[in-house]
Amino acid sequence: MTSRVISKRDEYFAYGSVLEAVSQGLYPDRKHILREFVQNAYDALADLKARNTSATLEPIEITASAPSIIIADKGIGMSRETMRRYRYLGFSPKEIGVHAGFRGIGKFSAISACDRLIVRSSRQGEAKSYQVEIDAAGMFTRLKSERNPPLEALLQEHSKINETSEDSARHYTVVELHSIHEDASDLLDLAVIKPYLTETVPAPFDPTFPYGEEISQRLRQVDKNFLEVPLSLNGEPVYKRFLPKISRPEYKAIFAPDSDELLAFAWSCQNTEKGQFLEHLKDGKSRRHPYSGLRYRMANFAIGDSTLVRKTFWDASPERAFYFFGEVHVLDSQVVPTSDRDNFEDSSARARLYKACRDIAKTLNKYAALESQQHRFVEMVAKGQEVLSETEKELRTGQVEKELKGDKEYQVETILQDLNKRLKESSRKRPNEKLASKAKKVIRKAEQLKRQLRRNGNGRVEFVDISKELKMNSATKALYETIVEVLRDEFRQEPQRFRTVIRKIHQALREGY
Amino acid sequence: MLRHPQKFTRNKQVARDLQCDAIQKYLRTRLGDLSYFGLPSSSLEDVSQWNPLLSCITAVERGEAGTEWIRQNELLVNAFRLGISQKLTLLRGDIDHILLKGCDPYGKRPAWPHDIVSLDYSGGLFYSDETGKPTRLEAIGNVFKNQSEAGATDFVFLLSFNLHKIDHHEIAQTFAVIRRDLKRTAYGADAVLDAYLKHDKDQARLKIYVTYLVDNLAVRHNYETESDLPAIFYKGNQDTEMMAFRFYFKKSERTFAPRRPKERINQVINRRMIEIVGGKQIFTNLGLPLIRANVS
Repeated sequence: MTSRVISKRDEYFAYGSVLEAVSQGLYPDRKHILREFVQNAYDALADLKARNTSATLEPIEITASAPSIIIADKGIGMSRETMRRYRYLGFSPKEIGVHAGFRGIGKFSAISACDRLIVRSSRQGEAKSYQVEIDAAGMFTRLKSERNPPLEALLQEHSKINETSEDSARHYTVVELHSIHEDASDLLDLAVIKPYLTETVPAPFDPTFPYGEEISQRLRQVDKNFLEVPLSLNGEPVYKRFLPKISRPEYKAIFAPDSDELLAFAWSCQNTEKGQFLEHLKDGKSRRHPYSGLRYRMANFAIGDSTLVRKTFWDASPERAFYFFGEVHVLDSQVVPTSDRDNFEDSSARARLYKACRDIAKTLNKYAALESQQHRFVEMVAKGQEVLSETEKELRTGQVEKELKGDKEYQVETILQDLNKRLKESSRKRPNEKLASKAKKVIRKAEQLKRQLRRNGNGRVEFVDISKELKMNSATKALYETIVEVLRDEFRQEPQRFRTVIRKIHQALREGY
Repeated sequence: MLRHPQKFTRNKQVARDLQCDAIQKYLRTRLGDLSYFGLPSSSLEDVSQWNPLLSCITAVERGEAGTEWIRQNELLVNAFRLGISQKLTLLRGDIDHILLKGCDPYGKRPAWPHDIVSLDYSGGLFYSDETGKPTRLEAIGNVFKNQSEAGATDFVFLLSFNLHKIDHHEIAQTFAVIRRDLKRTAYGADAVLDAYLKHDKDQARLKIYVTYLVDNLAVRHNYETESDLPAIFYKGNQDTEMMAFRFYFKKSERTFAPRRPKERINQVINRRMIEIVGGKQIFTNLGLPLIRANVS
């Protein structure tokens, strides 16, 4: 039996519905369209920086104002050839691991959100600028009216390129998504896109973040390609956010098992208040702060949100992930982000990364535990101080009943022992001079009170003795003491109630005896 | 094709420089912090030259009917290329409609007041809408209304247009009013005005008509126009005849609407205009007679 190849001229292998899938299906969340273009701008600036390391990067300007959103950069710009290929679907001259974008399909995500995409670019050193216009509205009208239009024809006939002369020193790219559709109006809403940008793009840290410069410097040392790109939205600078009341940043390098290959580099700041970072709402309630937790970043773009980090490597005490805020910069070029940057593509490299990153959770959990102990220590010192002051005042004014002497001694002794234990632990694990000195002061006071309580016989401290006061005979006194012992036993777990009961008995005895 | 700045004809450049002189003369205490509203064209020619004087630019661009986005996009690209995008706000659509409706088709409103209002029309002054209503003149009136309501105490108003489709009837009517006004204050005004009406060049009549019109619109909003700046005539691209006017508006100190001084019309008539030829300024009265004030 012989076989022959069947070929047909003018046979098409891809049709218009592919375009619908790419443009509408790629990013159900329209905000990702914006990230896609910021990514292109970032790559253009990174290429400019690579060509000239001393180049000062001008901000990426985003202007969101009906009916358009504009993303403009003064990066290296696109050549004639690159602009020609800009109209191609799935073609990208970029490289994985070098550039933030690399698939060549992201730009087509925009065509479902606007009527036309207009891109003008001039490459550094070329005395020309080029404009590509993609008539998205025309493409979709045709898709609706024609059955299965070939993809090739659709792309070719609804896009055009022209050129004009330009000063060769000028280099830029300006992208306009014109006539944004109603269902993509989020792209024009600053209240929606500003928070998205601050969390997602490689903007610099807020200048008021005290550790911003330090962290950036460390990231630059670790990753030679690390880049922060200034960015403005409708004239206002966009910065990465930070949370207040934080510890100094901790850094952790994550290496591949059994090799020196650096897979990731993490930094994190811990909440200096107890537990998770909280956001206090207007209704008086509070919730976990949305900026808390760690986020993966690749080429300094966010991948997923803080729950991705928690899910992927925080097995033990996952709630502790939100005691911190920070970033895990993924440096392994074999790890590839998904198109919508919600995760990384499933691969052995990803598995290796997630496994290795468990070390971060382990370390941070340890810090969280220490911090919790520290908080408990702080609370203990404060509570001890309060109890001792109260006791001291009662003893000074002679208000303490004799029946409560043992409890007072026990209370003081407990404070003394607990504080000594914490102080010892703290100096071993996480010394805090200020807190230690405060604790020592409370310990000294407790020791002094303990001595005072013991010196009762010498008359230094006077207790209220109801049997003496009411001149009880020996039988009554014995009966009374038995009752007190029973009550003490009954209220062993509730010293406060015991005290109230004793005081009530004293009052009753005084009134009726 | 993207239109780049600095492509003025020599004549237009001189006219632009004369406008800039007026800005620098009257607004010298606020240079560098001036707010501009107008029609800079997608090439942003004037604002790119005046950029050091400006802190805020509101540009209106209509674009060609059916492909409006092309010119509007050009304007935005040029603003970015030239490094002025951060101080620029684009209003899309027809400026007359924006001035009459108060906002562009997307609901964006100009932030009145402005220090410079430059209406550099690509067409003529007597533009009418589809119903034949002369919307342009009404729109110009709205500029002064908006400026006044927003509390502008002074500003420079620049107006330029081509000499196409002149409404001769409207001019003749205005001249009739001027003739009546001048009867008591000027000697031989009839003969002078007749000479203007018969003159073969439209710029002669427009010199008087535009100044009279703007002065009257200003008065309605309690402004006085203080200007000894001559009208400008030149030939621009493709030999299009153009006129440019410069006015300095100052809020009147009178509490009631100020009356236009009659003697001002005499001055306007007698003031020579500037004709720019080959990039050179020529002062001319186009061979027209002067008016004499009535001494009695």
